[in-house]
Amino acid sequence: MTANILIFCAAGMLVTAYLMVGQKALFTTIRLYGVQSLLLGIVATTIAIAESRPELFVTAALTVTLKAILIPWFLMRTVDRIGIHREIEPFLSVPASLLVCLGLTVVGYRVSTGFQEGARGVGHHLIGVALSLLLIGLFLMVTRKKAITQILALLTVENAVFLVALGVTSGMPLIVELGISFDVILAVLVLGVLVRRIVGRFESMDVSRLSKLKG
Amino acid sequence: MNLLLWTLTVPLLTAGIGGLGGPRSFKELTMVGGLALTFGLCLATAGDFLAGSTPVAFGDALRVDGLSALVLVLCGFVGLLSGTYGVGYLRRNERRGLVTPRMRREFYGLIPAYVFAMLFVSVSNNLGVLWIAVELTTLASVFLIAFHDRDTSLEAAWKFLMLGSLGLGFALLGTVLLFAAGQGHLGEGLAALNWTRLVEAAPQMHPFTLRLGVVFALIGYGTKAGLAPMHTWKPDAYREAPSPAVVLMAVGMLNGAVYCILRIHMISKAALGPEFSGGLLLTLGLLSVLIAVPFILIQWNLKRLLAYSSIEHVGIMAVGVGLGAEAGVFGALLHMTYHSLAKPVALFSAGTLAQLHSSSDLDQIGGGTLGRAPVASSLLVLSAVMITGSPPFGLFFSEMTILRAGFSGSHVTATSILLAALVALFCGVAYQVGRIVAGPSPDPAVKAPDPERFDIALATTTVAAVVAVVSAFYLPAPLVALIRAATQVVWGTP
Amino acid sequence: MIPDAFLTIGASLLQAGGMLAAAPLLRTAIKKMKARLQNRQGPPLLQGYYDLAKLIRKEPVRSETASWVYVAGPRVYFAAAVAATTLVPVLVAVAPLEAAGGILLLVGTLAFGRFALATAALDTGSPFGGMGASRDMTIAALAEPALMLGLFAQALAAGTMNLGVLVRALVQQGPSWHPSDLLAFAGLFIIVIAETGRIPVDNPATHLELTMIHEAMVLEYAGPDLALVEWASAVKELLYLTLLVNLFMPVGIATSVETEALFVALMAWTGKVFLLAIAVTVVESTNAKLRLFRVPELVSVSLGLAFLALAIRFL
Repeated sequence: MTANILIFCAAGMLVTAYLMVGQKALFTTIRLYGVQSLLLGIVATTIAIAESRPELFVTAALTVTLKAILIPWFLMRTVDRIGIHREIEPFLSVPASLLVCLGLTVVGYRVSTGFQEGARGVGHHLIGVALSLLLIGLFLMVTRKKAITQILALLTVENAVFLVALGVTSGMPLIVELGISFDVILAVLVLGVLVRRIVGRFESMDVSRLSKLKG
Repeated sequence: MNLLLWTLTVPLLTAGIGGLGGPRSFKELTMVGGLALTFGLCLATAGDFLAGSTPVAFGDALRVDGLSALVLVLCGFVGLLSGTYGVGYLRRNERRGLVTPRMRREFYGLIPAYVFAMLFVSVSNNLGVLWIAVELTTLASVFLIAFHDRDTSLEAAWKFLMLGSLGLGFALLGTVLLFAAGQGHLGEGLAALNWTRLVEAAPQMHPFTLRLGVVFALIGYGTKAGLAPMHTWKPDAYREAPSPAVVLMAVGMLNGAVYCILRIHMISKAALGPEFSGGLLLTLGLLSVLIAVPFILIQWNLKRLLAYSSIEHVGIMAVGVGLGAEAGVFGALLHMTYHSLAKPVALFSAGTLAQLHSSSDLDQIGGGTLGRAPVASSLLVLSAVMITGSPPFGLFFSEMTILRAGFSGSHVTATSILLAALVALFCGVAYQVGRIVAGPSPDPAVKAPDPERFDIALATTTVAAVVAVVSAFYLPAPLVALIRAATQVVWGTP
Repeated sequence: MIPDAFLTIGASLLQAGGMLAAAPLLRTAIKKMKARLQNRQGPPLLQGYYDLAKLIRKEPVRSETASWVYVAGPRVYFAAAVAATTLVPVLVAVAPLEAAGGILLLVGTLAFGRFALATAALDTGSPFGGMGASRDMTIAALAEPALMLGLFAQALAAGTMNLGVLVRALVQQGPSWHPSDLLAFAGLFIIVIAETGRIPVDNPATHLELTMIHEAMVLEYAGPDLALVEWASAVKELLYLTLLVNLFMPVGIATSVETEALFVALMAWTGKVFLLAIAVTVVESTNAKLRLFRVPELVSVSLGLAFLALAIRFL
């Protein structure tokens, strides 16, 4: 049962990543990120119950409150204030992006077999999905132009790292996790402030306009 | 509270007071006093270490060994320099009416905060705590880069934050993987991520996971250090940030990032021998040195020029570590020390010239600055001579140490490439600096730059220059002892 | 003893009849739920039947230039939809005509119906018909491979292309809990949205010439012809939802023809289809209609997901 829930949630995270790649409405992308974080929280909770590791409940609670609720809310508010709701044409068309992401998923899955825990079973899927998510997040980061989408891509990478941590370790020390969560929320706040300043100055969130500095 | 904790608390308090408000002279006094006290505490902590004790705090999460002590002292030093220069820097801008209350708050708050984060990096004995500390340096520096609120500074801050966060994401993944590789051999709780424990457990680690972890961690922290090809944020950030912040970035953060890289290298060396991470560092280092050459030759901006010089120097350090010889490591650490002493002079004098001309672009500054700003210009020339590794200054000795280690080891080709690149870089910097210092003066009727005044900023620059010159001929014995201790930490006692 | 052939024919007729009877209810139910989400009253639940009855009583109006192709279009479309219902297990883990073929036959039958309708739409030479047909075919060109890939991903789990055998195997081994399941489900769900003309892809409630797809294709039809098209579309929608619930949630499906088992299966099937209908409603209410040239992007996402579902079985 545990294994089933874990695989189900991991696959769900992969689906959200593909949907992020496949569409451009900012609100939907933010919601997808929220769903992804929620699934990550469920993964953490499931492992916490199955292996009776109470400190993972804290991780799960942090993940859900911060990443599934607070950060999406903050980003939506930012988007609302700015009043720009759509991603513009990315550097690569959607079908081409999807094709690349398929390749990235294959790579992620292949690499996961190198791990002690990733050779088969649940670990294989958890690590495989996590590495794929990581690569897809990186890919989104380089192909998207909107500041908010880039932030979401970064957060996706961060979720992927957490999923790796859940898949390959018996959990990072709690204090480290707390520190990391604190840093993430701080980083999102800083990014939000920066986005508002950029929009205030450029009247656009198109970061491809940030191209004066070269050489 | 022990000494180590005071060392971290003082800059944090300084940041808190500086960020709040109050009259200008009070803020200036707080910042300079706080940072001076911090430097003193750094020296005391290092002295404690040299006297034979090992300062620790929070269990074993913060710990000062030879490497930490060296980086700590260097960070404290540039922190003080940048604080005093910063006072002068802001005064100059106040005089020209460029400073808003927001800027004042950010400046007096973020500079000590940045110093705090760097000191925190250098004393963390724990992979997880280290990551948190490095993230803090990133967050503290973003608004310093965006300080002037120009189009370009927002661009630079955005790129810095995106690339930096991505690098930190990689570093976090590396941390997780290293932790996973040693599972079962590390024990429980926070202490499981301590260096001491990781290095001990390294030979039993799962090799695949370990390798992957080392690669990700090196790339991640390499981004912070500005190793090519993850260096692209650096020129932009250097151009946009105010000079005192640039100094912290170019020396403090660079040393901190090199510190992280060395720690990762130590784990990898204990498990896989020096070749694996050494080879990676050698490649990245050479790439950084080589990439700096063309960009310095065609450079259009003084501060970007110095950014590429930073990329070059961190490349040299990486090569020194990557050579896989004790002499190479010693050379790299010596290089770090001399670079920390010489680079502030270059950045301060360049910053003064940029402020006088309201721009750091080379064609805005124009030629013949020696006539307009004799002190800053001559200091710039002096520092250019130093940072290009010319004899008889310190960086010449450290580069020679690295080159000799390379030629006597198994990396003759790589060392030859390094030597050629160093010569080309010397020519590049000499050409660019010569162009603005000598060269024909622009028509004085067209634009009248501010006259040079010997204020506190320029005084700081002069003091830094004196320290850098003296250090070439006389390195204090405790500092040498620290470098030796650090070498021993990295290379390990045979 | 009744001969097998009669049994098969009887079961087929029963199933086709049942699906035909239930289909208009599903459409109205979704409409009603959507209305409720928008704080409206919505139509009565039997509205679908009233509409069909009204259309059938009317006189067909056909263009003077229309040929037999125009007349045949809706009939072939309707026939294909009805035929397709006999290829899918609904209440019992057996498809009445499963001996005839599996996934490929099902996709082929539906494609044939669509082809007939698109050809008929071109027949009168009206600009709307041609526009609708070309739009519909553009989407179908992407959606059909995605549908096949998604179904293949499930077929691979059981090692058979026959839907009846496939469902029986799934019932027997229980859910496989492989990431492929969820990926294929997500892919097929998008296909269902696209194929049934639901909101991010098409809006069945408007006749806006810039955006309409399916409605443009059948704009010329009136009276009984239109009734056939509408009815067949409703049957197709129910068919897709049935396929999804039986392939991914084969809980409660009857394995023997006993009254009790059939009753349970009927309840389970109704419940599951209703759940999916709620999901469709939520998607319709929370999303905005995509611009037309964005639609292939959405469908290509489902193609990607379906392909990944297939590929991940081998990773």
